[in-house]
Amino acid sequence: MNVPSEHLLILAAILFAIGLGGFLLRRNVIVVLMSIELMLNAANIVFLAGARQHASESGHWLPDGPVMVTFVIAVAAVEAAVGLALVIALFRRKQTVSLDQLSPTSD
Amino acid sequence: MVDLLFYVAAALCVLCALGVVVSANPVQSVLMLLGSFVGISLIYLLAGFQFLAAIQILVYGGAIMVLFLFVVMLLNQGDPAVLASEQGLLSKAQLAGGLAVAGSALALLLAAVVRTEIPRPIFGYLWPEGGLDPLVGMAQAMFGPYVLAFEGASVLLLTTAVGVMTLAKRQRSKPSVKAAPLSSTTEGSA
Amino acid sequence: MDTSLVDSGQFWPWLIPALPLLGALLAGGLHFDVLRRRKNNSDASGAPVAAGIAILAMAGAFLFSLKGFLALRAGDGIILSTAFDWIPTGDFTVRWSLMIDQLSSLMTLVVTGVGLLIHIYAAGYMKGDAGYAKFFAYLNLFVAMMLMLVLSDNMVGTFVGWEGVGLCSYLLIGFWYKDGWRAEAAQKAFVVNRIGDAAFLLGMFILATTFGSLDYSAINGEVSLLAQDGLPWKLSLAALLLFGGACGKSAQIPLFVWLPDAMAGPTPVSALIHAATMVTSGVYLVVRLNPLFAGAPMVLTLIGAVGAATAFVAGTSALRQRDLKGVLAYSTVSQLGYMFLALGVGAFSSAIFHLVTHAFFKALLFLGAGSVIHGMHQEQDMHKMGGLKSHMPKTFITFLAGAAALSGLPLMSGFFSKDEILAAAFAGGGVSLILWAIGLVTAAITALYTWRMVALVFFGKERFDVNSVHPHESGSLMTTPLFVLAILSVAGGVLGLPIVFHAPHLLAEWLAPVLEPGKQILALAHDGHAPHLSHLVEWILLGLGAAIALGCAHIAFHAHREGTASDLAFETKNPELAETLSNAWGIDRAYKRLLVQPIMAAAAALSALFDLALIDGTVNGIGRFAERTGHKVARQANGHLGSYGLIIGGAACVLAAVWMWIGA
Repeated sequence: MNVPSEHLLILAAILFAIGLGGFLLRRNVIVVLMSIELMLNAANIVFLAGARQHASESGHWLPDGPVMVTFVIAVAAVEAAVGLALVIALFRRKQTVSLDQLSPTSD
Repeated sequence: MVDLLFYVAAALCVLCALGVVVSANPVQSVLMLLGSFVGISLIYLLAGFQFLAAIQILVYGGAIMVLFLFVVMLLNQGDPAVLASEQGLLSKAQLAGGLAVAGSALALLLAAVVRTEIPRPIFGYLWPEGGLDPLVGMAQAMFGPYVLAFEGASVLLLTTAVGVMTLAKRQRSKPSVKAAPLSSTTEGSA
Repeated sequence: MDTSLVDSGQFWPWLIPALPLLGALLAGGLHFDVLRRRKNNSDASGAPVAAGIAILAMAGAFLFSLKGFLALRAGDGIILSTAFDWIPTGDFTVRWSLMIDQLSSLMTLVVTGVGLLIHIYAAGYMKGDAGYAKFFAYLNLFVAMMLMLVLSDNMVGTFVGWEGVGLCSYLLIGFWYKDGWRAEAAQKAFVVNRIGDAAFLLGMFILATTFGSLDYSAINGEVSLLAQDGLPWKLSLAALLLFGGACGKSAQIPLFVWLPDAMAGPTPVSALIHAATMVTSGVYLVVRLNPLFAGAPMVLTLIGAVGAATAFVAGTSALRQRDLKGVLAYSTVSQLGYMFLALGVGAFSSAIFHLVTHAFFKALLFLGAGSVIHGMHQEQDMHKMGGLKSHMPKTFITFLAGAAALSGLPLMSGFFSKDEILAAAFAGGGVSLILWAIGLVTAAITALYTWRMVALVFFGKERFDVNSVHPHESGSLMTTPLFVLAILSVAGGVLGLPIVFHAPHLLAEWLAPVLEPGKQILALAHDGHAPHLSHLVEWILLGLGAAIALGCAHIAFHAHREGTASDLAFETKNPELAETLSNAWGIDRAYKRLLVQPIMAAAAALSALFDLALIDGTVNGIGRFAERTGHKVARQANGHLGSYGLIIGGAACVLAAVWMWIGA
């Protein structure tokens, strides 16, 4: 595939922006968590675009890009698990997953 | 031809991502996310990251999405009745703010991409036999320079497993923590 | 003239000021112990030990002063004792060093001797006071500072002592500070002194920049050389400024207003500080720098005029005082005026002679007054006394001796010293003749107020209820020093018998080496001859002085013997005059109206403007601003994740934009 790296980055940017918008605008906690996953994936794309560019430029390959992405995937999984567990615990208390009602009352 | 495939996959990703954010039904959102992940996996494959493409499907699609789906189902989020009672309208300020931030983030990122000079490699984007993430090389990296992060990640996974089980544990109806009163002091309601 | 002194390598001179300083520290420590015990409600019996320590320290200082005196008399030469360099800066070095010469040894003898007697007296007078130990700590500290003043061989050491005695004066005047007016009196003394100190400092600066040294030997030596051609105006200005400083310390016009108020302190304080020692510092300073003043004849004339005026004004004010200590306070100011009069006509040794005799009889009078006040249970109004000679015989006898000396009755010490001053003034001719006339009138007034005081206090019928007041004689701790001082007041004249008695003038001979440079400079003005009188004129003057003293004593005694009648009659006949005189010619009131009140008003206005409005406003304003802003900012911590996300995302975007703009 000879798609220039810029296009990959643009794709990542769009995905990130969409994820950010979802994170800020949706009230449902679970959708918010999913938006976070989207943002993380956008970051992964950037890592790999860089790895690909470097490999093509220098002629040899570095493991750093893929390794980074591996760890990001692992941590994203962990984060999703913990977040969802919290959601479940919260739901048991408040019977809702809407952010508006889950936020603690302010002063 | 292969490049066209990339743009198709990219379009899939974007559309599905929009679907995640826009859907009213959380179950729909989950499925849209899955579609987005598939698109991304395809892009990884096209770029030469075979291992990661597999991992993406396995972990994200097979584990995380399943988890999300479980939770959505568990909390009855797919039920239209529940949905209707939970919909809250965003206030105009919140909407405007969110769109502004997301829009400016997009603008900034795009501007950054446009301004950066990324040289085109002469012979194109090639990858060696085994792809840009060969298992042997990855393993050598994992157990070489990145062994600390690797071990840390394992601990993290273990901790998370325990933590999640603790967090999501169903509370007993008979509270087991309440001690028998030793004195005659009356206790308030729990 | 060799202006450099060689260090003698002996360190015992340092014991003279060091022993009282040590005494002060120990007594002060005891005071804290007393306080601690009192807080624990246990027996506070450590206090008398403080008196013992202080008296021992004084005795030690006196013995070492005596040693210095005897060493000098044996012809050892001036003893210089340097401790270390204090301010070494290139060309100009200030050292901690003491110099025992004829003048300083005499002063130390007076200070430690009279001081020792007063300490013994105070041990009895202050008995039962809560701050007994503290009192002796302060007294010893004062003596240490005064000794530093007179023993130092350079002006900076003198100034340290100068300031130190000012501080101790403040502490001791306001010793019973719980009475607000006493604390105010202490503050007034300190502030007025400060004005003099400013002049002193300016004078020192001029001398330091001119001579590059502040050692007395260096200054005096150079001045003697310069005086051959007449001193430059800068040095005359320095002399004037130093005299200004002397006015503050020695309570001359215009800076005398603090001394009558200083009677707020306990009587031993008045005796020691405001009669015998501190107030004489100004006289000492002028005598110490006699070449400088001798070479500035206009300043000398001014000194004489101020001294004479002060003597007269204070003397008339003493005539109308009802407070026993008030009479003595104004009398002190008046007698100090005499000393400055003497300085003004170039009779430096006469000034010192009067300083010594005045120390004897004024201390005696103050201590006697203290005894009276003690016996009368803190009553100080003479109109409420009377007939005490039978109740307090020892006090009465000694008080008589002091009064005789003060008024200049023949053959008393005060007679000789005062007449010597007047004779010197008469001999000067010209302006000093006017000063002589004022001095003569003041001598008459002195006799008048002295014997008025004696008559009102000790004679006549008791103007109080004997059965309720019970005046009693004081204990031996208080009366013994009275007797010693009485002997000195009577016999002290032998120190300076006039020439016509065909006896050596011991004091003048003793001080001659110190005063020689000044005398020579003065002689230049008179073509090489010091003015002197024929023996006949001297006898006439002596007789005149005796007659005036005896006559006025007689008049005043009989006018007031029977009671307050003539006092009150004067008041009714001349109410304004009586009022003005009793207030020291209204000078203090004028100060209050013209200086103190405007300054206080300005201070209040500035305080309201700058301190309250500006500084407080700014500081409080910052605080209020922080509070308000904090409230506003705290509202974003509302627990709503949505707003958190917005703010974080927004901030991140802003930062990213800035970063890209900068082009990192």
